[in-house]
Amino acid sequence: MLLQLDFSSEIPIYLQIRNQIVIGIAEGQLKPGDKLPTIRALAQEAGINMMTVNKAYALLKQEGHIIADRRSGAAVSGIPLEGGLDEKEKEALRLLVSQAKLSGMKLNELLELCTAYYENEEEER
Amino acid sequence: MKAAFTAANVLLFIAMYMIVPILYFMLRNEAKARKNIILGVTLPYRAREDEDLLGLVKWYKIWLSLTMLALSLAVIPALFIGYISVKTTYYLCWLLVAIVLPFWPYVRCHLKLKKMKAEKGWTLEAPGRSYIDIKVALMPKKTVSVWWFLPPFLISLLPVFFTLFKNGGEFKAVGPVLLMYVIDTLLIVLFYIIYQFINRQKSEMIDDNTALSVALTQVRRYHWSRCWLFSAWATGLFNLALWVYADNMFLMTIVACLYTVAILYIVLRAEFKTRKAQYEMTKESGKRFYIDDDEVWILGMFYYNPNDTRFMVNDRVGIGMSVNYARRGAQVLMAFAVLILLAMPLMGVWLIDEEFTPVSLSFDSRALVAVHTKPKYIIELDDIEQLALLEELPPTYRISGSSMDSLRKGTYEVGEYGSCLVLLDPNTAPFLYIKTADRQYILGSADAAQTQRMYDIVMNKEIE
Repeated sequence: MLLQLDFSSEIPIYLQIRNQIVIGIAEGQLKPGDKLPTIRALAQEAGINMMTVNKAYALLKQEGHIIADRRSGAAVSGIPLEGGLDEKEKEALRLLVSQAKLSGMKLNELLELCTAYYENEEEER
Repeated sequence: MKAAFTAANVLLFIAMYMIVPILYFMLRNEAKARKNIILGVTLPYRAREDEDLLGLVKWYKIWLSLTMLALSLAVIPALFIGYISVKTTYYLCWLLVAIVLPFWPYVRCHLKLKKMKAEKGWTLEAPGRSYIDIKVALMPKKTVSVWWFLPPFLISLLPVFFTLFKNGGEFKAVGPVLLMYVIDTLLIVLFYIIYQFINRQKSEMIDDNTALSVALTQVRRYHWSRCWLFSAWATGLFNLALWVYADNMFLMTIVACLYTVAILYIVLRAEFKTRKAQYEMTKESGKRFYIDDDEVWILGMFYYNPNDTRFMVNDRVGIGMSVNYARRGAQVLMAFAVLILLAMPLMGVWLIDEEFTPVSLSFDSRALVAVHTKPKYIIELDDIEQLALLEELPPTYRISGSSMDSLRKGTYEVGEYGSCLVLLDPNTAPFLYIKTADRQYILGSADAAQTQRMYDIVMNKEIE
C-alpha cells in the first residue's frame, strides 16, 4: 500500500497518514493483523518528524483501527468497529453532502457515487 | 630540479588523471534511462524514444567526450614540469577545472531537457508528492552482520598497541607514525557509521510496484553495505601492512598504492553494480504511475527539500549519498567544500614560495636566526652547548614538515644524531649542527659562505 504525502495541502501530515491508512483498511489493502512500520521506520521513510507519525498512530489506535504496543509495534486491528459514524463524522458527511448539493449534484448522482465507493471497498476486501 | 619521469611523478600523474575516466563513465551513464531518470530529469516511458531527446543525448555524449579529451590533453604538460611546487600548483589548478568542467555539458543538457519536458507535456498532474510504500518500510534493515566490522577494527588496533608497547609510551619519536595508525583505525569506525547511514536511507521507490521497490532497495543496500565492509577490511590490512613494512619505504609505497586502488575499485564497483541492476530492473517502469520528485532536485543533482527532515539522501547524479541542502548543516558543509576547492590553487602559491625562497642564516643580538620566508628558528648564543660544521649532510628521514629538492624543513631523523629540527638547502654544503639543552638543530644556508660565516661568528663568540 502506498502512502502519499502532500506537503502543500492544508490537511496536516499526521491526518493525511491517518486518512490513508483508514482508506487502506477499508479497501482491504491492509488486512487485519497486517503489521505497520514502526514510528521510527515510517518517519525515516517519509523524512518527517517521529512526533507526526506518533500522532497519526495514536489517533488510529484511539479510533480502534490499529493496535500498538511497544514490543510488537503497530498492526491493523481485526476487531470490527461498531456504532457507525460518530457525531463529528456525521457533521463532516453533512458538510460533504451540502457541498455536493451546492455544486449541482443530484441526490441520485451522490448516492451512486457513495454506492460505488462502498462497493469498491467491499470488492477490494 | 628533478627529472620529470621518475616513478613517483608517474604515480602522481596517474593518481590525478584517474578523475577523468571516473567522471566520464559516471556522467556518460547519466544519459541512460535509469529509475525513469535521464540526465537528472524524470521522464515517462513514452519519452524515451522521442527523436528530440535522442538528439540531445547524442549531443551530450559528444560534448562530454570532447570535454574529457581537452582535460586529458591539458594534464600532460604537468609530466614535464620539474619543480615540485610548480608541478603541484599546475595539478591543483587542473584538478579544480577537472572537477567542475565535465558538469558543463550535463547542466546544459539537463536544462534543455527540463524545458523539453514542459513543452512536450511529460509532466505529472501532481508532482512533488512524497510516497511511502508500507511494505517496503517494513523491510528488515541490515544486510551484513555488524560483527564483520570487528575483526578489521581489531587488526587495525594491533599496530597502535604494538607501537605504544615497543616505545614504552614515548610518543615523541613515534608520534606521526602512531597518528597514521590511529587515523586508519578511526577510518574503520567512519566506514561503520556510513554503513549504518546506508541502512537507514529511504527505500528506492520509482512507482507503485512494491516488488520492484523492495528489489531496488535491497540491491542498493547489498552493494553499499559490502562496499563499506570491504573498505574496512582493506583499511585494517593496510594498517597492518604499514606496520610490518615500516622499515621498507619501497614496500610501504607499494602497499599504499595497492590500498588506494583497492578502495577505488570497491567504491566504483558498488556504484556501477548498483547502477547496472537499477537500469535492468527499471527498464519497463514509467508506463503508467511513476514518481516524479524533480522539483526537490536543483539541476537534478542537489537535493533541496525543506519538508524532509533527513540530512542525507541517496544520490541521483554522482556516487553514493548526497545531503539535503535545505538543512543548515548541509549548507555549511557545501560552503566549506567550495572554499576548499577554491583554496586549492592558493596552496600552490604557498608551495612555490616555499620552494623558491632560499634558506638564509643571520646573526641578530646574540642569537642565530634561521630564516625561510620568515624566521623559523631563533637560537640564543648562550643556549648553544655544542657546535659542529658538517661537510656532508647525513641521511635524513622526514617526520613532519617540508621536503623538496632545495629544502628540508621541519622535524627529521638525521643519521647518528636522531630527531633534529632542520632548516637547510640539501644541495649546499656545509651544514651547522647545533645542540642546546633540549634540542638539536641541523641548519644550512643556500649560500655556503653564509653558513661558514655563521659558524665562525658563533665559534668566536664562544671563545670570547
